Amino acid sequence: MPQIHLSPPLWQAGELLSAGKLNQLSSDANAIKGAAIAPGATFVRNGNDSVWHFRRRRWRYLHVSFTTAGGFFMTRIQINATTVYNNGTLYPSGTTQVFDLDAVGGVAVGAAYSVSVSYTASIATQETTGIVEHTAATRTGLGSYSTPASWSGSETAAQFLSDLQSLSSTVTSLAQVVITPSSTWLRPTGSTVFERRRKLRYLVVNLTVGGDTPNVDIFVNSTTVVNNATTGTHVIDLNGVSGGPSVRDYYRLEIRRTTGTMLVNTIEEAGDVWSTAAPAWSHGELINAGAATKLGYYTTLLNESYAILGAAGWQMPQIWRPYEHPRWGLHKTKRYLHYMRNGSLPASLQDPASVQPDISLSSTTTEEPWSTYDLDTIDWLAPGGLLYVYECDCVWLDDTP
Amino acid sequence: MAGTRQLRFRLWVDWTFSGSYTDESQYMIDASGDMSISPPSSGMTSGQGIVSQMRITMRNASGRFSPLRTDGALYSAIRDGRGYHAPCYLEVSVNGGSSYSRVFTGVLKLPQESTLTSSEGPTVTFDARSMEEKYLQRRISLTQGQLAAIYDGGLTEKDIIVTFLNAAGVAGGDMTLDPGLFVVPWAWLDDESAIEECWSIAAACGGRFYADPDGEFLYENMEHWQTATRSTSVQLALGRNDFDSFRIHLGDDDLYNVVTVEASPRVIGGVDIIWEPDSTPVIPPGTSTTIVARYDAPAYAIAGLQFSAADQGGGARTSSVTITPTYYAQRADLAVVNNAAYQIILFPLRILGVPVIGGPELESRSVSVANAAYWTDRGDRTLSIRGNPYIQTSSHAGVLSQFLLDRCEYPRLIAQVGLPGVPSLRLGDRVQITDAPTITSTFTGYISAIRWTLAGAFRQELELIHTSQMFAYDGNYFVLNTHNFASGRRAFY
Repeated sequence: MPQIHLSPPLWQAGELLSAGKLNQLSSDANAIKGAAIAPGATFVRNGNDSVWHFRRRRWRYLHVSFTTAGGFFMTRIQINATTVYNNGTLYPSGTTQVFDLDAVGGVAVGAAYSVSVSYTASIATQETTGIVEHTAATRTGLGSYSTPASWSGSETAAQFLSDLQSLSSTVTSLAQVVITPSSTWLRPTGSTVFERRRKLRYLVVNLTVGGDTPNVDIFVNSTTVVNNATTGTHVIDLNGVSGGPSVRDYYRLEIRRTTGTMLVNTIEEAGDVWSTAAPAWSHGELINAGAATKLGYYTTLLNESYAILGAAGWQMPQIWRPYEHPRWGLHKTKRYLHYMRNGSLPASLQDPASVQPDISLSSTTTEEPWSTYDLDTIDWLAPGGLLYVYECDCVWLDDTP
Repeated sequence: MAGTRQLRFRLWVDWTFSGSYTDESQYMIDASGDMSISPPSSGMTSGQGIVSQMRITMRNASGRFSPLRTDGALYSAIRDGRGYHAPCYLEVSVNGGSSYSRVFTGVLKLPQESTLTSSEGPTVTFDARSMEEKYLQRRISLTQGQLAAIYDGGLTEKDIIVTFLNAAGVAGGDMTLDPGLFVVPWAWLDDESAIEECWSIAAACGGRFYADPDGEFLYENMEHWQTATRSTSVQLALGRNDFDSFRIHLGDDDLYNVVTVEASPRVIGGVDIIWEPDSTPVIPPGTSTTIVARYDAPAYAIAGLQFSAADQGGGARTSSVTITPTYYAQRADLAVVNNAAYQIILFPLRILGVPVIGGPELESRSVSVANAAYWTDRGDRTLSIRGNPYIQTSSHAGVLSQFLLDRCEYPRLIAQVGLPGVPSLRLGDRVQITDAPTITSTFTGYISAIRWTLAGAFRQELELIHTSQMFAYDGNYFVLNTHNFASGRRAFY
């Protein structure tokens, strides 16, 4: 899963229509489609003092959302131990504090950092409901999308050129969203609330329940979508959830264990079959009405991708060790697993099918709190393949070591 | 070609490098030269560059060109090798001086003098090289900022050539460059020749980079011969009465049925230590020195310079030391000043940055289909293009491998024609030859090499590559802003 870098071609009057350039455009468009169906990020909401980690700063604005209610209260937000917010205002309905990382925190683009949210309260309730690093100053910002031209087949020579240029501009406008967020998730054994951002139609949760009279329920935006879940896969049609999220909306996913035991295995989204693909071109191909149809695929594909992705880059951090002996899940969407494991018990990578032997991970230290494992060295782990991680304090997927 | 030819020529030399040229025509006995799109004994797919050359023989009865004759008219300009790289050009007219065309522009090498003998007069011979020579050995390093700007800007090979040439000191007015066809994400110079790198990036993109007889640096992209007027319309039509020799042969310099092109994708790494010295730097008291920090990989961004200094008694001396870094793409020059009265040790000393990581790991392979039957009885001949750092994506490699294969899967049909010289001819010009005894119709080719002599007469020998062997759909490709879906044109590579 190499890191995607879009290189849309430039088109100029007088040059020949290049199959290579069109194929480059196809490569970019198909990569964007891949980003649209790639697993998203899963943020762990928490009501305690907690630390979340980004292994790479990508974007400019950090959005920290929380709710606070009750008595005397101070909320403190720190970036790499530098306090950037320390305020006693109560927000029972929630707030989002936005930090311009170019101005505060001292985090360079590409650098790792942590975000700590802590609460000092006498009688209070509080929850960190979401942390998003975003290219936009609003966490729902969609960026600037350049709408592609439509192809009719009757273009003049000048329109043909203009429409080609339009396609490249559209690809350029989507450059941020192919840098997909780290898509690891916590596998909780107790009630947990997650924050996700919807991309596809179906939410797919696989879990294992057990113990005496287990009772596990799943909620989306406070609507019960699975009542008394059993062991196995539960597919939730987000289109049918009352008060459910639209595509690109953030949504709250709660998995509530009332009795019995529970282990969440996977949290994923799946979509309808998406057949549009950017076409391949070859030297000597006749540029006629058939070619017009092929060019129209780009427009369709890019618009469909934008409807899912927007045009703004974003990512969510992963929480640090919210319970003892934590378990994590991931799809291999990036090459490098960054992890923390500072403790006596060793961490390991596990084949979800329990066929392949576990892979031990070396421990990290206080001085060097993070280490990196190259997932390409696991020959049985295919791109996109599922992998479990056990006992790590925190995990992060990245394209670079 | 009819009519009377009246030969004139003018040789100009700027002996003082001032832009003021001296007409040395009256002393010139003869001259010869050549230019080619590929080096001798090397196929046109080699990716190596070539420098055009000229040799001139000067009459030296007065000692004008003698570097050891203190009474020579040019003594002060040519003594002790002072004439080395003096700009020069030669222009030729075949219509009595009504119009001249340059046949060479470049710089002189050092002279060779032959003294008066019983059989020969005193002469001096100068070799000259085209304008690449002036910059060829100039080693350039791009800054870290330039490296990042190339990546962030999504530059094409043309933009990168401009960057390289500007860094080498070539004026913008001395370049004529075709639009770039490939986005090359990563490009930098690390104490390298800008000219050699321009050759390399041009080859990576199926094009050519060279200095023409007018002294301009040209980049001709992969499609140049299908878009440039001089290549799409016949510049010279020759019949049997127009040439004095005409030979056709099939060459195997570029005969292959398999072409493999290697690509070297690169990505941005994470913030890391990109340089630390293997040995601890020791700076004497009150001195300044420059430490050259060369990284293993180029740096997309610099996150900081960390250092501490101590004397040999363990005393902290960091406040007495200043380090001023200059960041290049793959190295930094650290200007260190030790203001202390003690010898200091720099430890730690490290540069943090964002490296560009990656290397050769992809290949594209094209195998002959159009001429597969020919190869059945002959076995494979494979052309491997490896080690060109400017091929960075699989799609780029795929285009190049197919482009090269289409030029290599048939024995190359080459014509050589000798004729009274036409000084305005240039490489890539389309030439058409009619010769009933050897060709049923006509031979149309691009000029791939010109060899010329000027000794009483101006003669040329042209080497021509058959047009249809270069482009299967010669003249029938889809031109942007000219054609549409109804035009019935075809896609280029």
